[in-house]
Amino acid sequence: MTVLELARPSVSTVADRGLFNRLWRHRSGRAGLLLGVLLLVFAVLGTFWTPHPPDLPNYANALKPPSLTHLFGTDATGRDMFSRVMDGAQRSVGAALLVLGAVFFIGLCVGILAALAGGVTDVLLMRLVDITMTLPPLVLGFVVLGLLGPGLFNLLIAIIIGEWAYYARLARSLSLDAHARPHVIAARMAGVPGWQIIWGHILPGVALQLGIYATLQLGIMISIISGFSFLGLGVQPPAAEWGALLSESRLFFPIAPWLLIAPAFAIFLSILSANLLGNALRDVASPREAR
Amino acid sequence: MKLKSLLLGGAVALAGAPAMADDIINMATSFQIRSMDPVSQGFWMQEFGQGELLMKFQPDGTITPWLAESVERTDDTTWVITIRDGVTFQNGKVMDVPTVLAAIEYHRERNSGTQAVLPAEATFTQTGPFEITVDTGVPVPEMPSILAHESRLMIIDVEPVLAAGEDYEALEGAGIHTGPYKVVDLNDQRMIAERYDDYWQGTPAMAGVELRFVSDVNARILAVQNGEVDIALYPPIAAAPVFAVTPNVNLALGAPSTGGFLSAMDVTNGAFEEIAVRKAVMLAVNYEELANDVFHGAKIPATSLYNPRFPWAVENYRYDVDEANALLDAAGWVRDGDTRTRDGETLSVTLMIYPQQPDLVPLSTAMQAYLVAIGIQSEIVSVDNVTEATMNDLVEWDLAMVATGTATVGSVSGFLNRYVACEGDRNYGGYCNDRVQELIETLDVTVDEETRYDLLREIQTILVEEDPYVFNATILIERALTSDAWSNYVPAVAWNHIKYDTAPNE
Amino acid sequence: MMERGGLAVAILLRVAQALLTALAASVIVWAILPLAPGDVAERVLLGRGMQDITSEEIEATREALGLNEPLVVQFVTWLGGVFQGDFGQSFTSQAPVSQEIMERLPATFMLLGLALVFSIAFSLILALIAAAYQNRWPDHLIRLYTQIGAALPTFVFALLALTFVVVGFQMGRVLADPSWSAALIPAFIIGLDRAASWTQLLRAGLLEAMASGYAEVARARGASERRILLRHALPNAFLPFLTAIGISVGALIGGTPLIEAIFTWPGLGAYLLEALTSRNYPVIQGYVLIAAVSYVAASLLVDVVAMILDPRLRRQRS
Repeated sequence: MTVLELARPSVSTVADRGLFNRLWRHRSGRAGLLLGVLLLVFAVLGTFWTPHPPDLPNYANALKPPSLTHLFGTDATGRDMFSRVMDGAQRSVGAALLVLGAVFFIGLCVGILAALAGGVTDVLLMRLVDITMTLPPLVLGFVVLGLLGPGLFNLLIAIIIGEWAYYARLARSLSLDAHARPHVIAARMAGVPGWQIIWGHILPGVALQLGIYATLQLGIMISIISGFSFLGLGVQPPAAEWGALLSESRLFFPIAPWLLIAPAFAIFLSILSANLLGNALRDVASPREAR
Repeated sequence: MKLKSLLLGGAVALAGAPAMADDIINMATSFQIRSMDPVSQGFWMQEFGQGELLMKFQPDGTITPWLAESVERTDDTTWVITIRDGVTFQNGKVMDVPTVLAAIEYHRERNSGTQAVLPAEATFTQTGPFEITVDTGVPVPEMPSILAHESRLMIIDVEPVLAAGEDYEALEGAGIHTGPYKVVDLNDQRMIAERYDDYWQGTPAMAGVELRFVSDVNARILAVQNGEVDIALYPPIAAAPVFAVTPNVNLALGAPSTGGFLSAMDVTNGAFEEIAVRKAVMLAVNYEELANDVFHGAKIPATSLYNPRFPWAVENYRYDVDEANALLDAAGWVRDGDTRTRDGETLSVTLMIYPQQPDLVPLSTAMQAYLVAIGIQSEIVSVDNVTEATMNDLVEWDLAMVATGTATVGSVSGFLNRYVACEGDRNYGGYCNDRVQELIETLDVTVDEETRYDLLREIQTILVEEDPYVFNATILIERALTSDAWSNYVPAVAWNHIKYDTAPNE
Repeated sequence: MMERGGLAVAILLRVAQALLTALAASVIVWAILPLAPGDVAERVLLGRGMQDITSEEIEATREALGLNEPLVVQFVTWLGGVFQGDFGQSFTSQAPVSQEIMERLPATFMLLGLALVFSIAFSLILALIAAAYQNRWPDHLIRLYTQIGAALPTFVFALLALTFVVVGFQMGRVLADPSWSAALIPAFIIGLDRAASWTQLLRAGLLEAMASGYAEVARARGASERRILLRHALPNAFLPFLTAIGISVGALIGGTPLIEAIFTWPGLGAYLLEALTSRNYPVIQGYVLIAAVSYVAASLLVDVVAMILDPRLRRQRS
């Protein structure tokens, strides 16, 4: 093998049909994919269409049990629960994906920067990471919400501030690992410019590994967003969000238990699909660690 | 101090939960009594059987003597109060004229609510062994109401209060009140009071009171259901259908209240700077639907700033969506589906509520729908204390929704002076209308009933037709949630939830 | 002799690191107050029930609270106060925050402590059973439980359990006086949910150890599966399990407000939620500090135990 051949980056495994096929053949990967796609369609559809208006009260129709027109019944103000769950999907799941994307991106940039710049930059950035991580998860989120006030946007900011640090640390150690790999050393010896090394040799691998970790965290993100909204610190009424729906439905449980079950079930299904997908992804993308 | 509480906490923890006594009243409220400070937190004491006033407001609207034997008006600016003989404070001290005068002075010096309703030149002097003569300088037609309001002149033993200074904890167990149950312990979870055996009206029915501060509405209901609490205050009326089928939970309704859920608009900045917007919002609220559908008939439709049973009430509230839309159109707010814009700005408001009144949640949700119907977007923000939040600019808001009376204990001047007058200490929105101010000031000193009614009618007309500011979204009926054993409990007027004879069903 | 000295030094170094970390956290905690919107001095005066506050009074209060000093001086003063147990006064009740925290701490400690015990117990038992009966019905059942448990957030699980089971069968009290007995049911529920992912982890570790070379040798020598499981697999799988627990404790601490809200448990978490709605910053600071210190202490404890159990960890790693 010539040095130049060694210097060529390994086949990028990010987003290619091979990966998809492997996921499909993986037992829980298939289930996760199917469920995930279904939920995504559900969520996207909910942003512009629902069977009934999710926000308009209709007191004559309040607290009706599930029926063909109202699959999950109606709530205390007469709104269709199925429509509200559908409308809420974008805020529970969509927001989680958004936050995940943000911390992934921030963590990736900071981590690679710290690893490759080294020196003072590395030390400073890692100190910042350490300081952020001294607080238990969510606590920083509460603090930021305490300062900014409740609201979905503020919640997302709070979560991003609270969660980026671990991604940065992970990205940094992955970058350091990648930096020491044979093909990177060969590339440097071959005189390949730094930018190209990062882009072609380091970034793909680090991004993939970090991405796998991120998908495993999707369930937790959904959980956090619905948890804060349940407490009234996230999404504000009348906007539907699964955690907020749980909170609204508690009072009416004795006469309308379906109002509590519907959003709980939605949360369960989305986290389940995220976990199945995440586990499958980890199994197929790094076969050495498969169980 | 810290070590002691830690050890005490640990000991209590290890001992396990104490058994619930059958002979105390277990009550739960959504608010928290923050401290024993008689100025800022003293009014709570009237509500749960600790403190008493010179006069008492009755469900039928009359005001009768309480700690006073009688209160007579001898002329426009003179009142004679005769205090009762045989009343003692819970610490044993006799309630006599000097102690009553000391209490009055204490409140006049420190309590802004008292200062708002009693003229500075008024004098209280002892003119007999049980007699106080009040020279008010200018006429104070609502003197009986002032004496009956829990936040104005509670009769306390001032000496221990002054001695304690800012150490309010020292007042626990100090027995500075005259009521049937004496505070013995207060923390951020609960207040405990014990029977005062020498209570002047007779032996109190129960051995004591345990009042728990439970801000979570679900927990309040479950606690009644579970038998942990006998009476829960501030139940969510919107959940009335649930109470109907829940065992051991009864919704008790009492007399119509002097108050309602008031909406106050921030007229100094935001959407409500414009009068057209204010008028439109008042026309967009479906008052009938609120009372009858949202609250299942357990509230009274708001037709006026005052409960319609008062003779001076002007029932000028209207529900007219078309007129509301026309007003906004004329003001240049262009409608596009659910929103209105003008010069690139979207018409939107922030509604402010607080969690201790659970009915504010369905109310604000309904308001949002009414606003959307005329093209106004809105969002809801929840704060712990509206007065704190508005006076300290903690949040951005446009419409504050508070449960307050416009004729509390029969007094109209109290509300007007605090909430509507230019310098009122509860004037959340910064409203200042010169004519209304003039009317309020005249009202303060007008004694003749018919003239008073005319002044009030003019104020109400201005507040709807010309320069809106505050309006009732709905008018309340006194309510409480009780267990089966307490199902005969009558919800209180003027917040007097626990009286000396409050007891379970026979 | 050398080994014991090594352990002591390693522990000392780890403790020093923990202290530095705690100090760093305290900077964040203190920073809340200067960053907060609104005037602190005015809040304090309003909280005391004063009306018509003049700007002179505000200025005087600012002086008295040391708010005009440079930020660094304020931080040091605050830190000094913290070491003496002074976390300032609550804006709403005027009581010392440290006192209110001490009143609430036992409740949270009881709940979290019991929940931790239940979680560890459940996961140990279930993982061992699953590994012992691998691929037979107990294993399948337990794996189903872990999948479901991992897909249900703790608060949703707690909410459903509380609503359907506790209230449905009238078990337990709603307005509990914090006590070990009152904490049993909530802790049981929390433990049941948390144990799901721990069981998964431990089970995997046990199976890996059961398939290792050492296990094969032991089997060849005639040792029973049970003996291998308990004598070999468990000790080897225990260390990673312990580390995972340490991290998970952080999640427990962070999730306290949510858990206490659902069970109406009057602990520190509920205290924080009240402080958030009333913008009671000294209380928020106090809570965050306690949370951070507990987290640091928990990780320290886990690391020290790990160091004691496994000498290889005693060498300092960067």
